[in-house]
Amino acid sequence: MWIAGVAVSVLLGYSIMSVAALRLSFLEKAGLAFPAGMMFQTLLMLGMDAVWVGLGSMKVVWISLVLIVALNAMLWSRRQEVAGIWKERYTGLRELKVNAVWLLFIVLTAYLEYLNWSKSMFFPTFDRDSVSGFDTIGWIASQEQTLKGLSIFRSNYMPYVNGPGSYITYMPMVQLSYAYVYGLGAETSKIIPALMYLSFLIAFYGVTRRFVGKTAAAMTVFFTLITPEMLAFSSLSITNVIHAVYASLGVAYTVLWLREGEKKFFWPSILFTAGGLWVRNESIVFVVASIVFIFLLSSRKKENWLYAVLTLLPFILWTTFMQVNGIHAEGILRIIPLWDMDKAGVIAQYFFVLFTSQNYYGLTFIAFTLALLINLINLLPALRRQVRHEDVPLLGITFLSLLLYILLIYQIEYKWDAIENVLSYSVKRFLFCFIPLLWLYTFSNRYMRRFFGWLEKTV
Amino acid sequence: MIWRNIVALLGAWTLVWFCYKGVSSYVWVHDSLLLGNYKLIREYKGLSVDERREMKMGFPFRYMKFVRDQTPDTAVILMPAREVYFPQGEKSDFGDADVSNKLWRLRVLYPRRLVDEPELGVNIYSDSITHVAVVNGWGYDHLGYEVAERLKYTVLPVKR
Repeated sequence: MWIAGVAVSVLLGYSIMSVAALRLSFLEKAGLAFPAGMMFQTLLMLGMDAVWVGLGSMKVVWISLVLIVALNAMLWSRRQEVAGIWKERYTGLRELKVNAVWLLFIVLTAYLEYLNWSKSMFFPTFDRDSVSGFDTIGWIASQEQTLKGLSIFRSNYMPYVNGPGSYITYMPMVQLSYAYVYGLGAETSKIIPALMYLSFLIAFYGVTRRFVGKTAAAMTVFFTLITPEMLAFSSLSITNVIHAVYASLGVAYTVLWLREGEKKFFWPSILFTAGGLWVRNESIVFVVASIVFIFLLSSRKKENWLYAVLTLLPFILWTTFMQVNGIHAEGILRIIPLWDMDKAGVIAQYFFVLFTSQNYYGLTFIAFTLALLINLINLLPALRRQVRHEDVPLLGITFLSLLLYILLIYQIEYKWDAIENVLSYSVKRFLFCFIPLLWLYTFSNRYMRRFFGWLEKTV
Repeated sequence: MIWRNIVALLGAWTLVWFCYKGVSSYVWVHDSLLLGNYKLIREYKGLSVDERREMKMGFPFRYMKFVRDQTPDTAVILMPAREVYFPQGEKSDFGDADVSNKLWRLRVLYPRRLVDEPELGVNIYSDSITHVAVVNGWGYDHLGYEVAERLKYTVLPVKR
């Protein structure tokens, strides 16, 4: 039953992506389908819980099926356009020129992801943060069919539940997605992280193809995939890699929308940037950075405001839900700016260690730094002349998000854990969001595009 | 065109090989994280979900599973404070598992209700305890009867 339930999530997501961005490639839509479907289903579950409708997964399945029919009915009126797109795809497929380098990286990626998928699906959830949080909340929510009324959210049963950094206030997408599959009879929730990562690899290849040719896109996906710590966590039930999936795809589509202004990128950019925030609070840094660059670089006022409001919507919804239902924990964020140079020193030291760690991130930061240094030759003069350089949206959003995140870490009061632990574990995992973006830049900058253009012409 | 493809392929393969051999964490990714686990999976593919969980979580899971199997779904179980799982200066049987976190235990024990000793009087289920989880010999004082053979780990009903 849970396999059918997951298939419904994929179909719902594909239908949403088809209505929202019909002109995306099949690969993009296929990859974006599951994350988009799961996002909508968990939003639906929150809505159901808000009005005291039990979180029964079958109800979600039936409502999703109705939505799938409705969305495809909407597509029916555009059937000629759809037929044209499929015809174009068929022609494109027949004319597809395969080269050995592309094939090598596709085969290697498929092989490694097969091993990773097997590992993910074989072992049930065992990692500490998931068992002491997301997975257990999802499991119990599926049994009690509520989130706001959960027995483990009551302070007379869990006396420390309102303490600083409590699981009670975590953004609920991952927990609800686990509740969905558990409610359909799954023995473990591992299909969610496994399918999220597989979907990501497909979607990321699709979106990277918008920046560069197929060979560089295959290499971008391959090098992202083999990032040691990210790959290790992709088969766990923890939220960080799922967050990275939404946040990085959100930034990639936002960049595309800023660079090319095409409508087909607008809704995916909103959906996935908002999706990141629906998974983790810290994703606010990507939302804010994206909004800043959208208002700086885009003159479409209506769309800009729509983007700003809709990407913040998950945060508004969850905050309202918590307020209405008395879900609260002791605050950890200091709004008033701090001045603590010791703390700043510790943060700088740990970030330096993380950035230079090949054990965690392989060659990611080295390759990106090299790419950036080489590109400064054309980037700096362009910035000096205030010419809009093609790299500005991607680099700008990436660096501003990172800066905002460092500020966030600095402003947090570490009442529930030592700052050193947070920097060693949480921050290390948050940086997963940047890995796809750094590889995207590494392989899609001007010089790499020229090189791969030449390569694809030559072979 | 074929020879150009072969040359490009050799170049790409050299890059992959250099990364694989030159960066120890990439060796770990392939040899240990992926291939190592895959071999393990092939070897143990017939295991149940509980057995797979036990493979990863070891004794802490085995003990919670024992408590789960020995108590009804409606049980309210008294469990010890953190210091009992992790006695100071001694090696704990629970390793670095998060057993002192009630949510961690509930993943195995739900729908049973749990009351940790420091929560007595605060926890809504304090007055309806039906079982005591014996951990590291702790718990016998909370029983309403004498136990002749005192095991290090077990779970017992509060009333005989």
